[in-house]
Amino acid sequence: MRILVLLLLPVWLCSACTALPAEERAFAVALCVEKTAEEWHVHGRIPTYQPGGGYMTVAGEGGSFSAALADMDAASPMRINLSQLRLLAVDVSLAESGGLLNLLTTLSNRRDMRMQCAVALTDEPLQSVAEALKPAAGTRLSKALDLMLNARMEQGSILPATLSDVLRLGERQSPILIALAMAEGDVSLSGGYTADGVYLSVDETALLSLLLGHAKTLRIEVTEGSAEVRDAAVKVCLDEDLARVELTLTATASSLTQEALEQGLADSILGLLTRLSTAGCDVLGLGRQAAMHTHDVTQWQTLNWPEKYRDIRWQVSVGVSGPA
Amino acid sequence: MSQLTSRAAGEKRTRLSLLQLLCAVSLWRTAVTQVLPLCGASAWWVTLACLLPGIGTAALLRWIMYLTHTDTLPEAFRAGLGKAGMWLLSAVLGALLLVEGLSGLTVLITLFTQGVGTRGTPFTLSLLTGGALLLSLHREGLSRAVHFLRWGMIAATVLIAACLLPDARLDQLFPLYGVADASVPEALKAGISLAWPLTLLLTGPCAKGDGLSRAVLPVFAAPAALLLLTLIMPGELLTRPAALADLLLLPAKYAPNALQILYLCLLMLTMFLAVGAAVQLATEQLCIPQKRCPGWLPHAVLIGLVLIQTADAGTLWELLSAVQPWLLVPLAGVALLCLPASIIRRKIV
Repeated sequence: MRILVLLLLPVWLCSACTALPAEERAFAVALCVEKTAEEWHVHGRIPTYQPGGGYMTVAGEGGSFSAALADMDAASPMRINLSQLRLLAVDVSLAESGGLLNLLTTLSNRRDMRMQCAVALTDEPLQSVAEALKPAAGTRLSKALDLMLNARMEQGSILPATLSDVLRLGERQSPILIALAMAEGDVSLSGGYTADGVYLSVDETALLSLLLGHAKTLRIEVTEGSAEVRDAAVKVCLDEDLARVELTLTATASSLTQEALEQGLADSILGLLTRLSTAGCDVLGLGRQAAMHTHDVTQWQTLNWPEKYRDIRWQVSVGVSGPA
Repeated sequence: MSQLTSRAAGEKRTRLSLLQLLCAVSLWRTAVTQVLPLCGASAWWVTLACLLPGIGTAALLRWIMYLTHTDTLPEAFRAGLGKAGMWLLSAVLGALLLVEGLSGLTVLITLFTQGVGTRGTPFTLSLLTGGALLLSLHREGLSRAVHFLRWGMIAATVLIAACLLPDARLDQLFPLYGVADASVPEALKAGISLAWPLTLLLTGPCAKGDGLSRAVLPVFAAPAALLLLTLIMPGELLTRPAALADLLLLPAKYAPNALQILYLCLLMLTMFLAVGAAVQLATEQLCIPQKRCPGWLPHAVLIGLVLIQTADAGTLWELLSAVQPWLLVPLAGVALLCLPASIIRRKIV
């Protein structure tokens, strides 16, 4: 009997652990955040819990982000809960002003926050974005968003950028967030943004997807043509202020010759990495290699990696093989 | 006779499981709440270093047992210092275990109220937990329950570690001497006594010969878990100012929801059992000189610990944190007191 009590105790305690029963919470599937000069505005997309489904947008505003969230909570028919959040869309101007990290840290401190939600930046009006979020197929917006995010990642249109991933990169690597846009009234996810609001096109995001190992098979566009590539392997080495990037891949279809494809890819990657390093975006995580040569915090701080990274020189070599 | 022998062997094994659980939970709790916030990425090797004083004290006590040709610590102290020595040892170990039980209960209640968001005040939750513990406090029952559940707890731990391992990055171990505002000397001071429960484990009858290496394995669970935590999280997240409940939940904070739930269940179960173990062992230690233990004593001790939870949890935790670095001092003190007498006695014999 006592062993049974011990076995059941965690289950019993967990069941008593919810602050509110499920039917008394509004699970926000998407959250849109923007900041004007005076105020924060938040828009949450929650189910209506009506027969037949459907979603509604609740909004809040306040002098601080927490005040805006509290205002949105007050406007909602039930207490807002973020444990089912799939998409966090933030106004790109907030990233440009340097307030993105604080916002993400504040959200991560919420007990109910789902850390696997995708983080996107957009320059579209956030209220329109929230209203445009509807399930394309079926009745569940959460499922529709999950499918859309997975599909775009597989295509190389976007890079994985969950709240957990972004925060755990720390000081040694810069995240590439998802670029959200509106196309004919629908939400479109393609391309990327750095954490400082620098936009990356779909082609540039696809290249990064190859370099970071997120996509092993991809269709890429270079200046004079395109190619279907697979089995990409990347080696990145930091040697003082020179970063060497070696990319090898197999082309299964290409409109270019091998030499042209290699040169085109190398030029595209070099241009992209140079632009990113000038903007201070350490997307390949060279800071990780730099940190491994330090033995205490003073040495790491003296290194002043964010500034040193801006002056990094790049050397890119690409090797292509295959039937194409 | 064989039935008696196998029963005795079984009770030894369950006793060992109880001590191992207490050691593992105590080390993990102290390392995560006292050492990790101070030194961040260095916490894993600082914790390993902090094991040394506890191992040294345990070695000293084992040497006293060897010099006095005894199998248990109370007998060794009785042989060395007489009945007064036995009383002294009982008082010291009993007090340490009571502090351990109080720390465990305070942390568990704080986890419920601030970490999980359970409905109820800290005192009502203490009553609830204490009530469940009262049911569980049975002389052999608790140790048997721990022994019965050990593989489940180990499996859950391994599963959590396996799910977190793909996010590990080797560079996050560097700089080895800490990140941001980390302070290794302060962390060493805070964690210097964290291995005091080792003295119970290494001086028990189970920790002899071949059994010693197996007995101490769970002790290294805390440094191994901290190493994994360092690999999966950058140092600036490890040293960010955080409340007690947030520190306990940090290992699974950035993990998927299912893994967070599993970690939370494992944490609650192990801490709950460790509080029961501390209370049971404390009453046993206090009753050793009298050679009999009233059946109501463990329950009375538990009720006392629950009543202490009426105090403000923050103040209580500050007090316990201030006491934590000094826990090894009385144990080392009594060991040094008994050692000369044991050496003299050995020479005489």
